[in-house]
Amino acid sequence: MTCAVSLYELAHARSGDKGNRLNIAVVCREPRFFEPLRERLTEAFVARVFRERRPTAVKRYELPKLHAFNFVLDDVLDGGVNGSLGLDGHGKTLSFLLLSAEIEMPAGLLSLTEEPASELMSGGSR
Amino acid sequence: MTGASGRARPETLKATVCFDGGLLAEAEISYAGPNAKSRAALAIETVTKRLAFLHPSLHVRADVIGIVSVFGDMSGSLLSAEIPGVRDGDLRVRFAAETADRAAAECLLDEVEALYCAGPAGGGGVRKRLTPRLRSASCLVDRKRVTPQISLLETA
Repeated sequence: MTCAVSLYELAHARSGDKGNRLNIAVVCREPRFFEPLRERLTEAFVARVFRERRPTAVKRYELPKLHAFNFVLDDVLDGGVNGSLGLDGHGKTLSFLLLSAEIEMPAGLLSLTEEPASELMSGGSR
Repeated sequence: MTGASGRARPETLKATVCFDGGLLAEAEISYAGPNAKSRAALAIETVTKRLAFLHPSLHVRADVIGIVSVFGDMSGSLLSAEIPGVRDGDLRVRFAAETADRAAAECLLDEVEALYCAGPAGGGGVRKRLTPRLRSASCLVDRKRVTPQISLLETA
């Protein structure tokens, strides 16, 4: 039994650019989400979320000790920050596009979870 | 036709005077997706608080394009009434200030750009703009002091 869950409830994410290439770091809110996401948050899933941008490749790197993944998507930034006509040439808002996606997860996975911790501040040191 | 009446022409002519109106500083950053409203609100709180101690005399206006912008008032009351709540969106926060102090204007622009690395998650698409402003006022000039003339600045 599965149910659709917003990835936002399961993970934090940050994204950035290297030329025309986007990387999205996805960090599980709780370690126990890592295995179900490893199974279901696949390269194909992420490629589908970004299908309108027509990625030429999507690669997933796993960081199990951090309960995290790094996704690298090629050719999705309209040429990158020096080529794109869009407002966000760096793709820094695109982390939240991925987090807005719904993903099928085992039913009841979230039932023991606390309120999501604040993700409001970006990755600078405190 | 008979019986027409009139008045003498005025002794004075109306003049429009333009003078240095300082700088208009504008900076924008976007937040989109889950919790975008709260992130936009936090960006506004962060920048206005920081500018309040860095340049206390600078009045900073903030709009959220997508919630309240062109309908908004100078003090942001309408925006404050609309912004609470955790909701999604594709939102653009716009900051604006007017000042004769170039350092204060550039400070606002730098603080908004700094939100990329030290602000709410997922901020993107920063644009900054500094525009010199002209203010104008009207006054009356003694007609005797005026010699009409035309200056042609460009030809086709």
